[in-house]
Amino acid sequence: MSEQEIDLKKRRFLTGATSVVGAVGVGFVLVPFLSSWMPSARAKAAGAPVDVNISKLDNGQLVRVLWRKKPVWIFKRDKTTIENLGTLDSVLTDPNSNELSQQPKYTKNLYRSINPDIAVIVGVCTHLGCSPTYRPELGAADLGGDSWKGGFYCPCHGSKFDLAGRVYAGAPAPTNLVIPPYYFVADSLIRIGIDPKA
Amino acid sequence: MKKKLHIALTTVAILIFSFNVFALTEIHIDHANTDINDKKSLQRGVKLFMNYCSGCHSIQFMRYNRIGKDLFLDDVIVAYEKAKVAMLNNQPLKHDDFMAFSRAFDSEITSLDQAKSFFEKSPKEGIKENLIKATDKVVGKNLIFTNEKVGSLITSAMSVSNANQWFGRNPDLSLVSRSKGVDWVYSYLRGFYKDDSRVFGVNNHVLKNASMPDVLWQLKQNKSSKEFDQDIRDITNFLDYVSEPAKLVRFDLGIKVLGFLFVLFIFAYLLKKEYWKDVKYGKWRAKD
Amino acid sequence: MNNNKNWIDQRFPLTKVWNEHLAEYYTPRNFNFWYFFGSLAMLALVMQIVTGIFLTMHFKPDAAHAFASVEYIMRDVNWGWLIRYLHSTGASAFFIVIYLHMYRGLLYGSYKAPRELIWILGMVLYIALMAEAFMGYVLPWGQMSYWGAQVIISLFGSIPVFGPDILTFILGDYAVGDPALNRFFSLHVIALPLILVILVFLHIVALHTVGSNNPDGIEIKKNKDKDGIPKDGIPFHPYYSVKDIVGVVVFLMIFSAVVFFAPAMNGYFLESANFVEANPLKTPSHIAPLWYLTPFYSVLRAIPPMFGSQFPGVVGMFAALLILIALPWLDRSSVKSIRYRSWPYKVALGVFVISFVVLGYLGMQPVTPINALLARVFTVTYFGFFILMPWFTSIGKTKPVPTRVTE
Repeated sequence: MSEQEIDLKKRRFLTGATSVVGAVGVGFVLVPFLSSWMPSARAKAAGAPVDVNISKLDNGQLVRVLWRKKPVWIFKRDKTTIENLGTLDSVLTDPNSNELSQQPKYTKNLYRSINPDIAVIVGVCTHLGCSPTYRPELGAADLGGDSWKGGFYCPCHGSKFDLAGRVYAGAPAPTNLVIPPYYFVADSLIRIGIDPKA
Repeated sequence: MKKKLHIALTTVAILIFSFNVFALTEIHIDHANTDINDKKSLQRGVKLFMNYCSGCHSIQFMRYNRIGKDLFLDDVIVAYEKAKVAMLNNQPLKHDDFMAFSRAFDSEITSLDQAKSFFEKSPKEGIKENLIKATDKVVGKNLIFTNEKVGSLITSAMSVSNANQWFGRNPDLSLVSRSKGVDWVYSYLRGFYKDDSRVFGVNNHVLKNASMPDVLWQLKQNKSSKEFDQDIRDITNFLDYVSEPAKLVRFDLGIKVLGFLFVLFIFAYLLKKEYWKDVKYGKWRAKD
Repeated sequence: MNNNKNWIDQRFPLTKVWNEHLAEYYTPRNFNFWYFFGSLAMLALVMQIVTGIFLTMHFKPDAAHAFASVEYIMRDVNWGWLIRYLHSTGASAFFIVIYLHMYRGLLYGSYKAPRELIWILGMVLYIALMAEAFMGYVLPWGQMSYWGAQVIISLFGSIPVFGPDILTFILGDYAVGDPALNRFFSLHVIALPLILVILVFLHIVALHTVGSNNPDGIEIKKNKDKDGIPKDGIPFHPYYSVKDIVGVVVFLMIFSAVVFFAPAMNGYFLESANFVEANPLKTPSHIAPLWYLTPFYSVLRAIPPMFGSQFPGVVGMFAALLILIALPWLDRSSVKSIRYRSWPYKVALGVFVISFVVLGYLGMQPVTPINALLARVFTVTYFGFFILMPWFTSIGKTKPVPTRVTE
């Protein structure tokens, strides 16, 4: 027995097995630590859907509410604005909202909204997260003069969006602004953060 | 030598312990005999708490939807699984099954065909989410008597300020079973007796001159003493859960962790034994 | 692979460090159970730092929010309860490991020449760890946190002449409050952990300079083979690394059992009164520090006030702690290990251990006449162990120490 040879194969197997089981253990331990970074119950409760009453919203007026700590714009588009939305295809990156992750299915239309006159848009630039400024005035000189049909201008890096949140071609922002899930609880009450019932 | 030391140690320990046992106070505390894994008891407990206690006492660290997820979600899932089995086996569906499907698909389901078509196109994750949402709704309907949201903390109608707590009025009950112990809570709730000298006409065996009315007197009158004790046990059990919601999961998780460590131990031990053969047979310097 | 190693070795002594401290660090072959606790203490330190980092992400060091933020961690943060229990249980586990580690030193004379510096560094570590644990216990801002802090900090107020000013300086206020909580938080998460890590590094550097002691108390370096390798030594890696892994797994099993099945340890690891938020208007009916501080707390209570001052008790408490540092010079014995010591040392060590444990127990109990008497008796025996040590280590017949380690 005392002259036993060293069984290298056995050593390698046991070293490997212990390492693998140990590594799996480390993997298990990582789960609680990493998931502690995900939104807590408090953050989730604070991120619950938000109700907005739009009965007093005038044409062209924009209100901002916080949903999940992000600004959401709700504004009313008049007839001209709605008509203008159809004339911009040539200057936009994604006029038909083909980037599906940027809006719920039920807002994949020309207006990017459920009702053409009420726009609901997450006011966070898709470039690097600044909140663009509301520039509804037609033909603003600093934004391209006559060709400007109203929209949003991001002060950080100059991205431009139209009044449906669609990004202008050539802007640093790669995609259209995000449309949150929302639905009309009543004619003048919007609930943001939850899809309408199927 | 070692044995003598042992005896000496034990003697000293017994001496000290026995002196302190006599110093204990004379208040009689009963065993609560609660079982945190008894979901039915916890469900009854939360209903009793919401009806009889929550008017004056908050459980300010607890959220309504947490109670839903911890105490009621399982039932909702089980009901859905049962309905699913019935559907897949083409058995006749009952009212409860349609309810379960309606919850799972977040739509009004009234026929087998409807259920089947929804089932085919619904993703699993979506069903889980819908069941959680449905549980939230149940909680909202049955447990929330104010206009709170389901994710809110459970504050009481009579709001509690710190000053209130300091003077011993309407304490928050989030942690009462951890600070006082479940047996104390159980005994306290059972400990009310008639005493006309007090404002509310009652006094308490456990907490002398407690300034709380016997809110459970109706239960005490209308139920057998066994049923009444069970009610109190359910409230106590619920408060035990409230003081540490993780208690519902940590025991099961602990067993899994120990099981895993045991497997690791076997490999680690064999590895050690294998390497230490070198030391045992005096040839550790033999390297590969 | 080899190229990378060369590249690093030309810029950093990686291979050299690996060999000096692991692969060619020769360790006595006869380590027993007691020698697991050094590496376990290291594990405990790492665990406390990692879990502490994550707790700090959710904790609010503000008297108005601290208590609620701990409950927020326990309930709302994903897995927060586990991280917190790992940390709170880890604190107690750390002290259990450290106490066993220190007791090992007493058993085998590990503090004796040439290892005096290792012992002193270890004692400073121990004191720093107590400060770290004490400040950590204040953070949850429960009743025990608050009143424990109040009592311990008041001790400084008993220092003659400067006491009251020192007290105000420590608190930054007239009583324990937000400023104290905030500075304790800072010291607990940055200053003391940094000091602990540096001290652990120095402790190990000193150890690896002289080499480990062993249960026989023999210097293995005195007996080398022709290659200059101690005949009774084996390389730390792989032999003790694989052995320590086994120790680590067993430790983790016991540790997990506490974390998952009894995290409050019946009030010893998390006191029930600490589940009530700090209230400066109402002291809990019975307050005691956590178990690892109670032996010294007992000494404090055992010494009666003199000249109308609590100061002698405070001096006694710190003396009980600091006198441990003098151990290498109090011990006059010619042998290190208990295996070859004379009987008076064995008896004295037994009395010392009993004194320490009983004082620890009494520190958790309310003061009664009998408890006070016992505390005084055991305070005397506690100090007697040190004061009489030069005498009892030089009498009695020691056994002959072998030249090579025994199995």
